Amino acid sequence: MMTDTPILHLDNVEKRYSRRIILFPKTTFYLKADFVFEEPGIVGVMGANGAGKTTLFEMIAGTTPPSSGTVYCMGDDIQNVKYRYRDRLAIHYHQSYQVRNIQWTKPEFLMKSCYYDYPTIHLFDEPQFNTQDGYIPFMLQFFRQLWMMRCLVFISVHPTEVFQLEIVEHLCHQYMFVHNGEVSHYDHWQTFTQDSHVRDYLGNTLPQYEAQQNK
Amino acid sequence: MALLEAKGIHKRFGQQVVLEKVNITFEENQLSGIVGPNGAGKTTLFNILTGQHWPDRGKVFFNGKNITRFSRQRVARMGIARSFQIMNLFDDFTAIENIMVALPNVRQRQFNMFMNVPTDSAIQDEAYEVLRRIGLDKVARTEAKNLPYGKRRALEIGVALASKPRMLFLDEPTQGMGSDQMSNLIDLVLKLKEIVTIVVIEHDMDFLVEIADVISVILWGQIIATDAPDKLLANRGVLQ
Repeated sequence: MMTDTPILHLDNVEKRYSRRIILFPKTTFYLKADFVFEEPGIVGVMGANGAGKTTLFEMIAGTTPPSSGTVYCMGDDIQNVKYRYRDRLAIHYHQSYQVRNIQWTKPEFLMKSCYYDYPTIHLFDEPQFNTQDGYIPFMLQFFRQLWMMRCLVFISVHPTEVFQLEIVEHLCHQYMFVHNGEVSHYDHWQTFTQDSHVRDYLGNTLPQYEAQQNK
Repeated sequence: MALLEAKGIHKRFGQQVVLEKVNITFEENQLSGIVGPNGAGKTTLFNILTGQHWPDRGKVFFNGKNITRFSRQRVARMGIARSFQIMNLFDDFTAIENIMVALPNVRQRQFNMFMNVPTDSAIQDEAYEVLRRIGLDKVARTEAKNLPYGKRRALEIGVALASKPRMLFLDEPTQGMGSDQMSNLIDLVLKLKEIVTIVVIEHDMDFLVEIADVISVILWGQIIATDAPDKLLANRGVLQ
């Protein structure tokens, strides 16, 4: 890995879905993201259903092209990497029902190959933290193992229980919140949970967690 | 040398990453377990190891021979048998008939497989021997559809054993079982371990802890831990 190349750079990325009503297009979905990750780490991503977490992951993994702006994975514009090699840069783990087909934008022979064998960016879309089956420790170990291998790991979660917040706080180094068409980035749990939008989104779960921590 | 070895296995279904760079080995005379939650890639890995699917990248070696792109029939002839998550039995056949159909001597007859079979005492003895091993010799003449669930599961294992495999793969054998049936299955698998190398996939870790010599944990299509059950449990406790 080149040390001066960011692992991930979303350069003024916008995604817009529109619907045309007679002659006038109406925007039905909008997402803007502009951030850089220079170093490996584990990033917790939250946001309401439909806010755009999966779309953000799809743009990073190169399965959905942005409407404008560029996603650079390991220095390469992911939309300019051959389709079959994109998951050697960024890999998106998700529930099978969420899989959408890759959007083809140009012929593959016009695109670059990829010389990496194993992806550096790992995107986990709402992993199921089920307390009954005993896999949570192994999942957490796996995320940390990827980070130790100098990977950048994103975990999108939709916390409804206190233990899920505990996992996110202790596992993640940074946090992101997708809300109102924007992706906000926080370096600390305290600043993340002080954001009024985050507090609204988490409802009663956050005060319960904070009360438990203060005991 | 490991009896079966998979190196750098990748598998995609469309854009869905199912297996990502899986490396795993199975030693002869060991009972190996693969655990992981639903959708982790366990059955796909089984399908690749037993020739049902071919990997996009990576290789599978059986007894040192590269079998990656062998057909499932050829893989089975080499000595790898499997049971399925969904049972594959002939419901209108009796237990012994289900076993007889799977015996290599009978299968070779193809469309004439039942010619003289009912009177061929050598074949019947062979089938009874398989039924005895799996504890079903007393229900040999019962139609498969009339057997209780646990015994149907055992019969399916018997069908796989009838081909005299060197290696037996069991795909979620505890599915749908109560605790009594489960303890019978544990006894059966431990007995079979003496005669054949076994690989079991399960999402119930507690079942595998009872029977396996070594367990691999698979998550998101990657093997993230391999160890003896007690060490794996201790590790899980520490991680918890």
